[in-house]
Parts: sequence; structure tokens; C-alpha cells
Amino acid sequence: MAEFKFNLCEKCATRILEAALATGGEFAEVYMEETTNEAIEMTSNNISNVTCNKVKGASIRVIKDGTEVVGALTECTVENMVALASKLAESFTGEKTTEIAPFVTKEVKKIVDPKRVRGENWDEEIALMANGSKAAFEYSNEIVQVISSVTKKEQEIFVFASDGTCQSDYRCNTRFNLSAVASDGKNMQSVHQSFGRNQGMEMFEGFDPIEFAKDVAHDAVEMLHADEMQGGDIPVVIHNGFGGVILHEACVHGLEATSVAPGMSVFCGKLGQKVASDIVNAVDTGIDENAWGSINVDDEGTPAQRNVLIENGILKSYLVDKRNSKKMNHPITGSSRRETYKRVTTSRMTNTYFLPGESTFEEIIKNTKFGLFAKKMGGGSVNPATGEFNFAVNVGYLIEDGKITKPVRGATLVGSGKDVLMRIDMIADNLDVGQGMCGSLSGSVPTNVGQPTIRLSHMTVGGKGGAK
Amino acid sequence: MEFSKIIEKGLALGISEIEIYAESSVSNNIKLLKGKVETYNLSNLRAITIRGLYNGKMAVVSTENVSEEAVEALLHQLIENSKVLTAPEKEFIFAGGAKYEAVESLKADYDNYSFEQKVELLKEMEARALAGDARIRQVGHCNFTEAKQRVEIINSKGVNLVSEDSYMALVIGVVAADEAGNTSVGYAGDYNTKFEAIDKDKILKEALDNALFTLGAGSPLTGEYEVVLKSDVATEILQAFSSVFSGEAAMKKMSILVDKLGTKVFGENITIVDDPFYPKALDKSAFDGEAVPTKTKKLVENGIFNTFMHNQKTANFFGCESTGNGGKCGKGVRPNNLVLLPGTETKEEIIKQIKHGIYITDVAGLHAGLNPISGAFNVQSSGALIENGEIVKPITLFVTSGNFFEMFNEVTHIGNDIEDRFLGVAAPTIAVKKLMISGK
Repeated sequence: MAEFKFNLCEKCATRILEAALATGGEFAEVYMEETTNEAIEMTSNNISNVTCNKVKGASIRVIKDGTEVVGALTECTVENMVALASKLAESFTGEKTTEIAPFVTKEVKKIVDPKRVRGENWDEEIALMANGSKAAFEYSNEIVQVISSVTKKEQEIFVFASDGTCQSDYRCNTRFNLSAVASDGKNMQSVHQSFGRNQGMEMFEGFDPIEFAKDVAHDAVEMLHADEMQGGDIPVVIHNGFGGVILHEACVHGLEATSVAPGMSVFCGKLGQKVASDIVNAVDTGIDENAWGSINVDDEGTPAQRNVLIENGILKSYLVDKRNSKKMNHPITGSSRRETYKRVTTSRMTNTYFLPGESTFEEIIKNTKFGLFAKKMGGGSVNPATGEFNFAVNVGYLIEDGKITKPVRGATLVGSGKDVLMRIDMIADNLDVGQGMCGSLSGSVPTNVGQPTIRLSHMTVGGKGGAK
Repeated sequence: MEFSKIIEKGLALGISEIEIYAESSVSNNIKLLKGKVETYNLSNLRAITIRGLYNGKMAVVSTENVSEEAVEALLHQLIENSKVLTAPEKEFIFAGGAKYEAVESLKADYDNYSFEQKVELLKEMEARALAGDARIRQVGHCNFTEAKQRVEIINSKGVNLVSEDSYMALVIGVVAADEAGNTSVGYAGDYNTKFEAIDKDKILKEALDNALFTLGAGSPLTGEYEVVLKSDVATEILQAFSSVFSGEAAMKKMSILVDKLGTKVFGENITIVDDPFYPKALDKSAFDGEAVPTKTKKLVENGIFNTFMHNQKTANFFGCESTGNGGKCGKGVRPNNLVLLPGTETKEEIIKQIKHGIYITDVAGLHAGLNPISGAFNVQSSGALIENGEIVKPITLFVTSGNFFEMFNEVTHIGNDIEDRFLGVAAPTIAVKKLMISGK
């Protein structure tokens, strides 16, 4: 059985693919998308912005002899798509060689199932933001600004290809964001935090915006009065949740086929080899129920799956899309993603995290004589070819004699992916995830990063030093 | 749906003032890998953004689907959204009839060259990069892009503006490796309008230099150093902090420069301009994202803070005139060409005068390790040690820490090297009395 979307019929789909394959292409694919991006924002307790952005278009690609030709268009009538497919085919010369396989729509278990994307009006979103803003302002008179927002990306995709793929997906990435700015008249500090899922407004059942906002306001005030971190090469304890950005930057970007296939990653040729200390286990999984980085099928129509990346320190898998699967002779991992049809789909992350270890959070702190406790992490970046990465600590504390002591601000961690995973010497049992937007070749896509609390025996910590 | 019809329809629905910002682009990108076209990407895209005042409140919507049905539904959405807004700041749609500077649009000649010629250019770049030094292991990026972009702004108050630009870009990225297994990467590129004028030699030299410069480098010792920031690095930092000059950040109490107008905020040697017509800039625009004429102004003159960059809304909030820095449909504030004005010394002359210091050639992670609100930055860096005016040893994987406001009070030298055909922001090489370096 094949199920077609966006008013397309089997005959039209076949016509477009036939045109694309006319000059000997080995693979042709059409990706169609209709997306609504909405955002509502509150600044100083007033609704300052409401936006609605509609995205609609298609992307066609043809692959022959390892060369990929791609085109995107906004007006996706069948005639326009056939014309674009023919134009793409003109890049090659030759006779038709590939027959289109019969279209089959696979049954896929619904992991992502947004129910209530929007209400009759904005009341629910406004209540969340108003409660959060009020709580943050009331937390301290040093809080001078609070900006909160609810953002939604509701996306319907449909992809069909000459290999018989015929899949659709429906997603809605919903997120609550809050930033608090603290000032003492001389210095200013801001802290930002968000909570998101691939779900509708039902995700906020049980969510307390007041506690959430107080936490952000607390951190902003705490950092306003914190000393600057003193730089050096010292032990670092990275807390659970968004702390997993270390795995994301230090390692998994270097496992994406976009870096591995062209030989641009330090992890090239390392499958089956030791890349981390023995206690390290890591996965990338697109099938955590309604999670921020989850998808039912990826943007090539492959059902999402759970991929073990590192097992007991040994590298087990890269992240691979259809095209690179052939090049690398590696199974497809169901994580080919793109921000929109305007970007070319490729291997990306979904929900990526270290699995729990055997220590407890308390044991890790107690066993650390001196070091940095990175409680909340900011974003970071990596150069996969060198493995050199960085990420920022948004909220940090010193650990002295096995106790968390004073707050410190302005710490940045840098390191090299091939060294740093070897230095993980303790892993706690408190796995949690945080929500991020990951930017790479195919655009910005929602990904969860996560981990239990971990300790690194030592790492370069940057900081300005000195009292505030 | 025609733009004039959309405006008519909006007015008929009760929107008192309405504006359309329409963008369309045709672009092609060729990516070469190992002597073969890896990806050839053709796009033909368009989108419109509509904003309208309804009962004095301005809402913004945008769409790529411009069918009559879709646009009409969106106009209704705009009205519904406007009813929710409670922010007190007054919003404006600009009236037609203003005088705009005459600027020449960018007109690239890529249509005169065949696909094969562009592929040949990439093949030449790849081969020459590999032959340039035995340590160059691979050319990981070798891309040619050509793009034509058209922007139209039309509103119910008589504005009807068009700008059309086309340009091309050639970018390469090389990976170097040594026998010890160290790797490093170097990127370089050129934006141009003339195919024959693309400076191949310069791109190759820069990419190879960038990669080889830090190959096999270790970390420096932690401590305070006198620091020279290469022009690209100074540019990236200025760009990342450009929001401190934003009238919108000021309005939201999120710029530390609020209440500092007319006071000395930086050293006397610092003058920062926003000049839409700066001769070395690639892009020169006569109007901003809400059709207001752009103009040249000194944001900071000899260390004195003169003005924020404003759009119509933030200007009205502060009781002044828009500086022509409005974003698309008034969304935020953006610089036209933000430039730290150059001095007279060359980069080499500056380095010569440093006894013991660090030359920073690359920074990474500015989106995370840099806070425009506090002014603090802690960014991953690489570069070299300077001893007695000479570059002596490459270094990498260290963190440079400082504060934007403190740093611009401690600039000891300003170079004369503003990048040709830069995009949006530029700064020359600068030397700073002291910054904290964290390494070993």
C-alpha cells in the first residue's frame, strides 16, 4: 500500500521521478514540506511580538556516479516539479538505467504524536509567559528584564523516491523559553533556559513556569555576584541534562557522515576502536517518545531508530544517510535531517546522550578535591576535522575538598574530541536531557543533548580570573 | 497574488497601514570533492513578509505560498495576532517620497561562463591546494556559489522600492596533517562580481597559511599576555558584540550602553562607524528593511559614544530619528557596514613592537562563549607566541578571556588592514594591552 500526500497521485509522482532519472540517474527523490512557524513573545510583562511564518516547497535530487544534483522550488505544481526534475537530469548525459521500484508506505510506530498544536486563541501561551515573567521579576529587584516566548514549528513532510520510499511525517516542535537579565547598575548578566518537546500544548501538563522562571532568575542573580573563573587545566564535573553538549560537540559531530565520508573527521577509520574510557556508553536515538529531537521517519523517509554509538568505550556506529551509506558501506541510521526543503538533507543527530553509570552525583562531588562544577552549560562548537571543540559554562561553581563552594562565571571549556572522552572517570546514574538547536550543513534542527553527571580527570578551563 | 492586490485586500479588511517586503533569489552552488562534482544545488525561491497596523498594533506574518487563498488567510491571522499585542511602543510604516542615495547594485558576470568553466575553476583550486604543500592531506571544501537576490518593499503609504544584486563566492577549506597525527584546518574565500577577478592566488595562500600556521601546535601557559588580534578575529568579535549598539537592545534595557550617550566608553583611539557606503564594503544599500534611507554615522568617535543604531520604533522610543538600521519589516536593528576605523600601521609593524605576547589568528564558539549583555568573552583560540617582535611558535586550544568594554579601552595599536569586499562588519588588526589566556 502506498499513501500519497499534498494532493499528489501515484501517476504524478512517477512522472516527476521518470523525468529526474531520464539521463541515467541511479536514485531520485522528491521531498515536500508544509510548515507553520509561530512565536509569541513577552517583554517586560507585555506581549511584544506575535509572528506567523508559512513555509511551503519541494526539493528534488538526483544521484549518479556519486554526484548529487539538487533543486528547490516554492511553487510546487506537478508541472513545475517535472520541469525542475528535467532540468536537474540535464546535468548528466546518458540513457535511463534505473526503474522506479513500486511505492510502499511502511507502517511506522508513532513515536511523535502532537495532539493539540494550538487553541482557539493565545490564552494558554500568554498564561505560561505571564506566570513565568512575573515570578522572575519578583525573585529579586536586581532582575531588570525578563523575556519569555513560546515557539512552535509545525511541520508536515512527504517524501517519495525511486527506491519505492513513500512516507510522510507530522511533527511539532514546541518550546518555552525564558531569559532573565540581572543588573546591579554596573554589571549585567543574563541567563537563558528552555523546555521543549516534539508535541503540542499538551506537553505543558505538569509544567510549572513559576518554578522554571525562579530557577533562571536565581542563576542570573547568582552569576551577577559570582567571581570570574580562574583558567587552568583542572578536573571538571559536568552536570546532567544539557551538560551532554560535550558528547554532541566533542564526539558525535565527528561521527556524522558529512564529516566521515569526505575524510574530514578525527573519527575516520575508528569503528571498533577504543575512543572513550571503558565506562562510556553513548546512543543517538530518534525514538524517545515525543522527545524534542525525535521523529517518526527521517527526511529521507527512513524510520527513526536507536543507534548505539559507543559501547564500553568502543566506537560502534557512525550516523549515516542513504547517499553516504553507499559511499561508506555503512548501514543507514534513520537520522537524515534538514531544516527545510531549501537545505539538502544529510546525516544529523536526534537525541544524543551518555547512558547512566554506577556512581551517584554525591559520590562524584565528594571524590573531587578541587575542580569546576559546570552546573548549566551553554552552547558550543567543534571543528570535526581537528576534533577541537569549545563550550561555555553558563552557571558554574568551584569544588573544594569534596564540596560545592562558591559560584563562578565566565568559564569556557576547550579540548580535543580524541582526548577528552578518554578522561571520563566517573559517571552518575542521573540521566537527564536538555533541548538544543543544532546548526550544521542542512540547517538548524532540534536535538536533545543529555547525560548523567560526569567527571573528567582534567580539561582546559578558560576564564578571566579575579574577583568581580 | 499581486502585491498591490494584497495591499488593497488588507486595507479592505480594516488594516490601517500595510507593508510588503518581498524577497526572491536564484542561486546555484557547485561543491567539488576529490576532482568530482559532489553536489550541484539549484534553487529558485521567494517569500513575502507582510506587516500591518490594526488598531494601532503592528503584527508581522510571512509566507512562501503566495496563492490568493493563502495570503488572505494570513491577513486574517495578522489581524488576530495584532489583537493580542500589549507592548506600549509605537510602531510605524514609512511614508514614500524620501530621498535615497544613488548606489550601484552588484552585477555579477557569472552567466557568461559555463558550468564546465566553473567546475574547472574548482578543480584547479583543489589541485593547486594539494600541490601547494606536502602536508595538505585533503581539500574538504571547494565550493562555488552564484546568487541573484531581489528585494522589493511596497506599502500603503507610497513606498515602492526595488534592489537587485548578484554576486559569486569561491570558498575552499583544506586539511593539513603531520607525521605525528596532528591535523589542522584552513579556510579562505572571496566574494566577487567578476569571474576573472576572483583572486585564486590569495585564496590558496590564505587557506594554506591558515592550515599550516597552527599544525602541530601545543597549548600556551596560562597567564596574562599582550595580545594581537588578526583582522578577521577583531572583525568576528566586533560583529558578535554589535548588539551593544542596538537601539532595540537599549529599549529592552539589554545594552550596557544605556545612559552612556555622550560619555567616553572606549579609548580615544577608537572610532566605530556604521557606513552603508563604506568604499571597501561589498554590499552598499540605500534603504533599510523598512524603507528608511540609510546614512553614515559615527557610533563611537574617539571613544565617545554618540548614538545607537535605530529603527523607526526604537528611534521614536528614544525621541530621535531612525538611523536607517531597521531589519526586515522593522524586525530588530541591523548594522549596514559596521567598521572599526583603521589606523596607519601594518600588521607586521604591530607585531614587531610586541616584546612578549600572543598573536591570535582564529577564534571559535563566539555564539556561546561571548555575552553581549555583560561584555564578557571566553573564546576558543589559536595563533602563535610572539617573542621580541617575532612570531616564534604556533599555539592552539587555549581560551582568550576579556571584556569587550575593557578591551576597547586598552587597544595599543590599530592596523591599516581592512578586508577588501567585506560583508557587513570589518575591523583591522588590533593590539590589546592585556587579555587572559588559559592553556596549560
